[in-house]
Amino acid sequence: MSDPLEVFVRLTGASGPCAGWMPTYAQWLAPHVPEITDRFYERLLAEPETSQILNGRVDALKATHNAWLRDLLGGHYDDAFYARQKQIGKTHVIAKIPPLFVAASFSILRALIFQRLQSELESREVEDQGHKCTRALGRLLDTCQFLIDQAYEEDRMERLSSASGLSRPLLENLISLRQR
Amino acid sequence: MREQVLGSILDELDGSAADIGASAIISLDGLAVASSLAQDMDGDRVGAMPAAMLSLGDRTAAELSRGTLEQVMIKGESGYVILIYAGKDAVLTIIARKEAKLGLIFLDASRAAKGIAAAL
Repeated sequence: MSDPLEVFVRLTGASGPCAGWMPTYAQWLAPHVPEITDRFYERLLAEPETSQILNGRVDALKATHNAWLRDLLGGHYDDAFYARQKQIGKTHVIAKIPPLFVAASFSILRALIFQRLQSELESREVEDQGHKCTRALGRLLDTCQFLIDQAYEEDRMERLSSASGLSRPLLENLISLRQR
Repeated sequence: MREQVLGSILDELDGSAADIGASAIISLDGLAVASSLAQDMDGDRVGAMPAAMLSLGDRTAAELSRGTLEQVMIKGESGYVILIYAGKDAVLTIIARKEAKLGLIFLDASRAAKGIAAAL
């Protein structure tokens, strides 16, 4: 099978015409990175279960999150960028962050980023670009989330293979058996 | 050529005891290499299940300090399924009747497994 990332990008059109606008939107949003991060962590800290995971590490995590957002809004989406996103996925797995929180975090982040973006579009009087903008950013975030999800799936398969002794090809065969 | 050799080993095994209903050679990835199983059996399942069972048996034997796995035997109300390694890369699956004399079947299975390992 082809590289899943390539297929994902092709299917979603993440590298399509809208992507060309990303550096511009990214530039508009870049100054707001610390604010987005602060609001993001406010939300996570308001929930007891996520707060427990973050406990005592918030400042360090905020710094990492700021760096990630700057990278995301850096406007350079090459192989090295995607390799970094894959690594972020692995880091989440190693840190044992439940996938539920990753999905919820992306949802919160989308809302915060789109909200900020809307303000930027309005202040620049270019609201008509809103759809291109949200589409491009949304696809970029979807791609990042896909790569993190893949890291979780890879980890689960590896754990299952290691615990059961079933080879990866055999596991794939079992998964693809027709349902009765 | 290899298919013919494997097929003839299975034919010989099936003919060695009336209690053996059918047999198959499965790769450890769960693909059927050769088989005398009935046509109406789902080939994908027939391949994947024995390979999975043998791998699990292998791991269970190791975890419970039972040494190297020799065979996995499944007993159902209609008979037995016996799984043994045929070399490092294949599983010999034998379907036997419920009245089967298992000692003889194990002997024939062991001989067949050695032949299969040599042929693969």
